[in-house]
Amino acid sequence: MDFQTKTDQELVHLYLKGKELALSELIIRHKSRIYTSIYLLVKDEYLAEDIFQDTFIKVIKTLKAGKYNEEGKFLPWVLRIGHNLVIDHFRREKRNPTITNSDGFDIFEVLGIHDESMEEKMVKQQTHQDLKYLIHLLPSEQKEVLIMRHYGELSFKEIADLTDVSINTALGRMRYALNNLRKMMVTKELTLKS
Amino acid sequence: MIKTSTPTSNPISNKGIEDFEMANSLNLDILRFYNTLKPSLNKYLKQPSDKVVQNILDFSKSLSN
Repeated sequence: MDFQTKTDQELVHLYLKGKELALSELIIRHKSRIYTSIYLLVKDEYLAEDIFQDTFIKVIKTLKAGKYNEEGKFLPWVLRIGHNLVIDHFRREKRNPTITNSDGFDIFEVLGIHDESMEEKMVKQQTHQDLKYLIHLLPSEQKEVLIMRHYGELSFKEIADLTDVSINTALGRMRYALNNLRKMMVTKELTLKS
Repeated sequence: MIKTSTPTSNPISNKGIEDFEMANSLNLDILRFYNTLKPSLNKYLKQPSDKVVQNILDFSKSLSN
């Protein structure tokens, strides 16, 4: 059976009928967006992996219990579970995610930029480091919307439902996030090179 | 000194930017900025380790047995 051509909903049905490979396909399909969304909120690779794993354990338990709402889309549902687990984590830790230290990851170091000069390479690395830093300086509600919209590919309706605000508020937070990023980049004289 | 560039693509042509509600809410200037920002944001996409994925699949199988 070709699982790659199946919709998320079809994969959920196949999984519930005992096809373990359907779950594998769902994870492969969405793992990057789910993991990145969690990681950018907690800023720690190991913690993000723990929450990612807990998210899918909850997904599996819910599916097996027959409690999955067929009307909802799979990815927003999983992101909602992950988001709630992130909130639970910070409630337990009683700390603000914006002051958590970064684990220092930099995916740009492993990008193929061998044909660039050392200066260009350093400039690009610094630019991306600065951008990552600026994103983390955003107020948490603005950062959340930016992450959910860009990495989770959620609609503003889905973001609004997930964060328990109106669609207009979610849209406003996105606008503020982009405006603030742009202002900070102007202040730092940082311009992106596409 | 960081090099500058001007986006050449149509800022409302990309996936996501076509989102009606967003296009209506954000002005063209902000949309253009977001469009320029996207490639850099996409470079933050990360993968969980294979071990974690395998743990999840093993957990699922353990419930099936």
